[in-house]
Amino acid sequence: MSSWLGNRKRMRLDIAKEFSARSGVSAADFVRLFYDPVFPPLIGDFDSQYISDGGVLEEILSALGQATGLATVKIRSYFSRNETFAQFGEHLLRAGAYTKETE
Amino acid sequence: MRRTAAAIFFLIIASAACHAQVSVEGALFFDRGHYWIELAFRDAAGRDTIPRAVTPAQFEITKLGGTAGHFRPSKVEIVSGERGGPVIVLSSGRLEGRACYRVTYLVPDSDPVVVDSICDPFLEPSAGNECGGTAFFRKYVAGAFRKDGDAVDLNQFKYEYDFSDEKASSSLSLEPRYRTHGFSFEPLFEQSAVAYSLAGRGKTSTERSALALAVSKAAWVRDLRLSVSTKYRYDRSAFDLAAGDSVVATRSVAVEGRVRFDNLFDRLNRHCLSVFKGVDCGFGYAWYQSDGGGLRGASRFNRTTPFANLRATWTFLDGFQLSYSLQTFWPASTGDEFAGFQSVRFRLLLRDALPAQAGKAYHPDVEFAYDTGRRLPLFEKEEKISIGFTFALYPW
Repeated sequence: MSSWLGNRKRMRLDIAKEFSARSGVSAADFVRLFYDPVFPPLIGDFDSQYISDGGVLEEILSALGQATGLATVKIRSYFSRNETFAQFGEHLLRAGAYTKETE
Repeated sequence: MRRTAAAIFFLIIASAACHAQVSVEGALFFDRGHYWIELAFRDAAGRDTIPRAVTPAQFEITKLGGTAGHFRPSKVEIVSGERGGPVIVLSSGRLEGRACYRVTYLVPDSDPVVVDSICDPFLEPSAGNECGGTAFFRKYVAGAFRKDGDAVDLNQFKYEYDFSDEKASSSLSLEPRYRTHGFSFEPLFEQSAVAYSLAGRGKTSTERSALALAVSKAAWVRDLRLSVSTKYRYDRSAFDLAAGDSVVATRSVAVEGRVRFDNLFDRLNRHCLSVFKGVDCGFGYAWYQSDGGGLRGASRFNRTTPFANLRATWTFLDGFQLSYSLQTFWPASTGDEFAGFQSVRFRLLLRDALPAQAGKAYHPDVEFAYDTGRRLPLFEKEEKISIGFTFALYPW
């Protein structure tokens, strides 16, 4: 069994990596501005400013699927513009992200 | 890319506490119907470590912003990870979602180690720049339908079809919860309709509706959750029978004291395998009055009864849930007998197996239910076996 703390850190890195790679925001700025604050901005704020179109978002979600072991359709179902990236990551952890690797 | 990843890793500073010898990092997480706190200890050299002989008495958990003081975990587990070092998982039925906790680790012959702000990522801001309408909806409307960790009284819509009796039934149950000034207010609306197709005798139907309001106050006393509630309930049953239509209306007032003791089962809980929750028992007294018209509504009565309830839910093997409840009544009027009503629910939790619906408002579960016995307000013999989809609202 892997620790929740470890998986939460890993999820933070994976989300930062995938979203920063396709948005022009550095990974360090992404976590500082959009992930780590106690009350961070919503995904919708980031989406409207830095994601150019729906195709880019699909690429990001697909890459996250490969990183976490979850199906892209499942990741898409948890993606909500009205939540924060930390909450999005927590949804994916609760949905079983990274568990396939340890089974 | 590795350099970027390393830079991000070193930015992780949340929920960490430093001590001369050891640093501790914590996370509050939700798994298998419970909230848990995980702690990772590191020595001065940054290596994963676990203190020797940890016991529940060495940990104090305080809910930040709460007024209930601190409490101790009921169980401390050392979990060795397949990746990374071992961690400590604290169990307590008192942990709740959308909250922050402080954990104090009492080190023998040394200063305590304090881990501050172990927060649920779904913690909501107390104030922000959202507009008034959004804030009202989030706080009072959406908030009322969230029942984090609840095992019973979930809002649900259900449709069942009984193939053997050619019977179809549908039911809607809404029981939002509003909390203010330490009191919980739970209005209830229930509507159910059952239609029977009888060979050679046409169709009969029964419609039941109920309105209720419960006011309760709960408090922690050591590891037990004690609550007192008062409930007013109005039931109306309409019977469309071959022998004639009937309408029965019943009003009841009940006062109940309830003790929830999930915590006593914390030592048995393993979050991947087995979780007990919603284990409680209640004792109370009810006054009820019935009147109506037609064949079934002819008998009018005005009675009282003491009652006792027992409920428990067990989630096991990742996605199976078994619930049991027993209601017992001792009607005071002459000629009435002891009455009991038992309910068994076996549910397949599909919330993790199926993609969430748009907006994540609800998830379908397959539920097998068996109800039998007599209960308030009419004490008529009931027996029902059903299997169907239950659309329960997400707990978060």
